[in-house]
Amino acid sequence: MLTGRPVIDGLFTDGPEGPALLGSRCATCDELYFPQVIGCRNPDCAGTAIEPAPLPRTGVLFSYTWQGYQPPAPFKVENWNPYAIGMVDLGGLRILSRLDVPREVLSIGLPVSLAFDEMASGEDGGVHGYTFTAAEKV
Amino acid sequence: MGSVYLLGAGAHPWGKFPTTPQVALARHAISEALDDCGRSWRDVGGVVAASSRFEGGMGWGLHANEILHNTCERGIPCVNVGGACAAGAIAFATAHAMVASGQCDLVVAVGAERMPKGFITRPPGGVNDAGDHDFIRWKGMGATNPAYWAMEARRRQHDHGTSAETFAKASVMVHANAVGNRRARYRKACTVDEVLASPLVADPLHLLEICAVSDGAAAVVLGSEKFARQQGARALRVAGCATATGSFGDPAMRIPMVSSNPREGVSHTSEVVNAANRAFEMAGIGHDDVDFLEIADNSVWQVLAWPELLGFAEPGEADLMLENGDLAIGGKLPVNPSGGFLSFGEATTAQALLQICELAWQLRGEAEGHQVSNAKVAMSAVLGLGANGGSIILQK
Repeated sequence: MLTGRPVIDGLFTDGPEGPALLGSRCATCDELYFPQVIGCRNPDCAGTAIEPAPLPRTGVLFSYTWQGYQPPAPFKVENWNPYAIGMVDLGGLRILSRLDVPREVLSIGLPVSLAFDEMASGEDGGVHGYTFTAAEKV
Repeated sequence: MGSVYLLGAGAHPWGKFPTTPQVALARHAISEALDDCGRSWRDVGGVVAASSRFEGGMGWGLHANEILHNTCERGIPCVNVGGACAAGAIAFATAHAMVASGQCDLVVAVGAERMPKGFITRPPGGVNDAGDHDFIRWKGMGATNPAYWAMEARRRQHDHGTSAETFAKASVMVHANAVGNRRARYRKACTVDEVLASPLVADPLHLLEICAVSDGAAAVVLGSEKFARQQGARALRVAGCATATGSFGDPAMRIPMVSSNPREGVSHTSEVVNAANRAFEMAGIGHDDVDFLEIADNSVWQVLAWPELLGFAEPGEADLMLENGDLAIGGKLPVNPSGGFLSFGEATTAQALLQICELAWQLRGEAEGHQVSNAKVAMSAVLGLGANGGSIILQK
């Protein structure tokens, strides 16, 4: 269970193996989407039923960058430092995420797993966001 | 469908003009385009404007109406079109359709923009919820546009072995093209060492490998055969003109999305590839017929990747073409002889129209200082956020 507030309400859910990102699955063609959608965009699918779906919590790093400048608002973290952002393959779905991976460990093909971090502290538990870390500690 | 001709091209200089209203930039560009073909507002049968989300348009995206209110109010139809950074191409295609259909004999397409400083940020009006890609992108991870391009560049290094030096050479080439172009904002040549010594914005991309933002405006006058005949050889035929959206399964992480659903066999940047393929089909020509390209070089990654994606080279082949000088002015396939976005800075909705103006100036032999010799067929390609692609082919 996560304490405090999510960086965006409704972005996370409690999956079978713990907190996960919340996406959608097309009940007809099984395509997985992130974030949540209200319709399936597969042109070969005429399905209309969409179900909430927790995303897989592990994946593989497809690419990454090290962002050297502080992003503008509304991004807000305490004690900002340059950090990594990457594309993570979760089976058929590729998503964008901050990465909590040391710069020298970053490499394409790195197995990674979902984690949550505190973007801002507070008496109410603070604000937590999502990130991916190296699946095996190095 | 009737033939359509580009009769006039005009642009306000690119740069920072904090005291010039956006509508004044637009008026300048239109005035130059009308002068270019010896026409006046009295000849204009319609105006299509690219709508900006940053400012102007009376706050409602009504940029064409705003221009008429400040220029010439005589009842002609106005169309205001969205399409983010491809809006200029969509304005062009709309104006093209108005002339081709016979609705109008002479139509102006215009894009004008004054850009906020620094990183392009989240525009107002979005829904701040868990279903909004752009909100998650900014609030959840602070992913700037250069971060998206950098991840593509990193992946290219992995797939094709593109070196940091090769990326830097792409910057050197495009900046060198602008040295002789009086219209470019940045006209200083740079070296590989200078590029690699410039600040690392988003690894592996340095400051001199990404485009800045600029204020600017560009306009074209499109006309029917009747008007083209009166103008003679300076009129250029619009051989191909297409806009498109993306294909399902495109592997690209499109700005401002935070996901993609990659599928085998679907092209990367498919919205632009789809537009270019349709433009080719309409023109009835092949890749070998194209004498030069103006593409959206938001970063050096696009300079190398887009000629491949558009079918002018095999994947990974552009590195060698660059090294051989094939992509330079005087090479087999000059890319961005104007100096591109890297040398102008991006004035988002105006940019695609500036590309088309450049095609015209080159084909007429008026590209003083950066002329591609004997160019007869020229092609543009542009990408707009949200999966908007546009491509135009002009023929002498």
